Amino acid sequence: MQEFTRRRFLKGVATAAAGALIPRALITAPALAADQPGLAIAHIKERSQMKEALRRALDAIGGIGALVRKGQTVAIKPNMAWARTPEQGANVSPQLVAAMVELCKGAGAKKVKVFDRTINDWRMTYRLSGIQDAAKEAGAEVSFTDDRKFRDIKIPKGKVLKSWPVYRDALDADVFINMPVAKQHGTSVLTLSMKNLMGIAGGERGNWHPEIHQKLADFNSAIRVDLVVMDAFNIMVTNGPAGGRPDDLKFKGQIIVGTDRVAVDSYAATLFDRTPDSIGYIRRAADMGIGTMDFESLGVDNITVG
Amino acid sequence: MLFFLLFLYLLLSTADPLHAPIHVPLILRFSLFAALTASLAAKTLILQYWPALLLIPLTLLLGRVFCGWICPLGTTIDASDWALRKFRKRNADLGKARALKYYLLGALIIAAVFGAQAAGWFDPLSIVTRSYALVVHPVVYAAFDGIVGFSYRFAPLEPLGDFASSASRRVLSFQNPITEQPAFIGQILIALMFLVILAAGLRYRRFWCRSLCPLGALLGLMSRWSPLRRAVGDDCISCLKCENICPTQAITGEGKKTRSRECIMCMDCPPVCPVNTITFARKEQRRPAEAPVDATRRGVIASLIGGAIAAPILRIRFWQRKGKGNPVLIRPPAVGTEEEFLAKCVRCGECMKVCITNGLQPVMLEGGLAALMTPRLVPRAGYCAYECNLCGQVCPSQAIRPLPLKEKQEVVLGKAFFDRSRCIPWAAYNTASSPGKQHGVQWSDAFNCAVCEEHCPVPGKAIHFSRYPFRDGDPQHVINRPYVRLEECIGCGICENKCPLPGPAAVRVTAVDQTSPDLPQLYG
Repeated sequence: MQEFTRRRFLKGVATAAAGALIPRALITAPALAADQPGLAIAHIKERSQMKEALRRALDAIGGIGALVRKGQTVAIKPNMAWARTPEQGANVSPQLVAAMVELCKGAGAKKVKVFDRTINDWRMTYRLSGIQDAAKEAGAEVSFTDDRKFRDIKIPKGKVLKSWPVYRDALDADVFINMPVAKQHGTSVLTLSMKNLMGIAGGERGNWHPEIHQKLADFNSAIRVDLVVMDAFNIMVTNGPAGGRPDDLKFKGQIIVGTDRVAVDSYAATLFDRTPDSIGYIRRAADMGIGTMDFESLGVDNITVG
Repeated sequence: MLFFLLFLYLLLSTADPLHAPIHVPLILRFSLFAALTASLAAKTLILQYWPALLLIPLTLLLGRVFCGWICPLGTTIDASDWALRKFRKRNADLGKARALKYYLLGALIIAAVFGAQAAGWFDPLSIVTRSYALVVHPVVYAAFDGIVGFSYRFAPLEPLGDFASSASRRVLSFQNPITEQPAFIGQILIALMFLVILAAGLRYRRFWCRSLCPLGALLGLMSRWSPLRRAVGDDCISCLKCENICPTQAITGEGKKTRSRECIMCMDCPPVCPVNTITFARKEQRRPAEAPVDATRRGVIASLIGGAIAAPILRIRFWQRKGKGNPVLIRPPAVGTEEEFLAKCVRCGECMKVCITNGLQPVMLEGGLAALMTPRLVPRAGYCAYECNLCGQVCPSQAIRPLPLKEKQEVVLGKAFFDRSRCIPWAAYNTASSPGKQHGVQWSDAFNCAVCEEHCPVPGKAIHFSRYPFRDGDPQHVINRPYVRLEECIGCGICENKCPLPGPAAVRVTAVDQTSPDLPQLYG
């Protein structure tokens, strides 16, 4: 009989708590509706049209009702990493996050959490990005990602990453929505939805940069994403991912919505005049079966708003 | 007590975002002593110290009420003296040591005239702010952090953790929660200095105020014109109750006489008088009995000479030789020349408290005695955030100038340089092309890193890549070797901070003189 020590007690409680949460086996989210296209692209001219664009794009792939049910907890992970203003385009447009929060609330979500593990100081980033205020106003809970709220997960399919700490609220939510902004990136070539997922990774993420493509694919293979909403209103074509100058941005006026993250990223790559398979992590993620690079096979619905 | 709460409130408000209705360095700017020595040493009148001027009429009218009622160090000492009362047999007599503070004041003023300013050592407001900001605050942080950490280990306690976490951030203004509690180099030395001052309470009450405080000395000298004085009536029975309760031993002559310069107007003595004969009244009405000053002429002259000798000693810096700046002294934005900065900085630690990344750290001896406890950026600890200009806004003495964000973003603190024998893309290239491995090394994504390039906040980036094609000829196999565009680099240090290498970063920042950040001619 082992001695009953405090350490053992704490360990036991922690294990029991972890066990109580049902592991989510399904990594690739199914399409919201079998008979509808898997990818919707809304074309807009102004940021004020984002709400309308998001609603119509979601309707085109099956509707928010097919994703969020009454009483559920939704976690939204926008790209809110840099202490930059919305005009600088380094983070997702606050209007888009607000629209997503409202739609989830409208669908009956009990709680909508918005968070990112920021790169610059979180308070400054949350504030300057405009997302904190916009999301709060829309009814979300905007919270700081405390280092102790990360939980180690196993990455069974991982080739380089075998396990990594992940933010609890992202893992435990009923619905997890990834909201990236399309940007150029020095090491990974493009920051799209799969790269945006680094914002729920704990630990020393800088270590990912050598061999970043495989690590991103590995990480994605273990994280379930139910919906990707990509902001391609302005894409950042140079000096990404932080940018800073208006010249770094290029107007595209698109909101890309889909459940297959590889397909969304593949389509987004074409906005930068790249083929999906020229981006290391997209190719590897497709190889690992996380999604398909052939986004057209899912059916693409182009919607013009306004 | 009220002022102490104000002090704490302002200290906690010294954080991002600065939203206190009162200017946060207000209390620090009450220090007439720091105002005087910083202005003398910098040879400019630091106008932002105007609140210090309020002490002049205050003291001329009411005596040392600042010491008794406002000074947060005084309040702290009262509290610790109270806590130590069981260990203190009686409030021991300081005797001639009382005069030390006048000698110190004289010496420090002369030293300031010769350009050496030592407010960091002796200004009570500097000491108390620094101690609370760099020692007490992190300790309280650790306590809260413990609650949060504990709560997050048990699912049912999580709401408590969330509460403590948000309370600690909102109320206690903890600034660097991502890594850990704010930590400061040499914290223990700053703590020791503070504890020694408090520990004197084992023998003496208000030891600091009675024997050393140069601000107290200054106010004491001014209080000689104050009309409000302690006066004792003829019916005094010399019971010595007032003498025993007086924290500063301002009462002498069997309870009948007063050392007005020592009296801090705490008003503790009238209530203990059994015959109710102690009053604080205008001196025309009742002639108070005045005890003589303790300072001697010889002592004053010696202290002035001492100050003049101390000044050059304090100022000796090995890197003062022309053209050779100290590479580790990366100063916050924006400061003047090193000389001017050392003259103005009162070492209060406000900038380090407010620094949102915890990157501003106290200098220990790496800058010579003169630079002790001044702030420097330690990029590995935290970088200078591009969108932040808080340090200039909280600096009481204008050693760090308050700049609008746009201007602050152009201040050059230093220049980054690469250590190619450590940097991953450079070292990987070396490995890949070293003769022994000529044919063995295959292409790997691990050759590329460039975290530094990703984080560079300068629009257009100060870190760029030279693209080196890997020898296997595959067009996708390119090693991106980072280099610094020196003319763009502002030395914010985020590259050094974020470099994923363990130990020293492969990209490091070396300080430059902010007043002439131009590249050396060596670069052509």
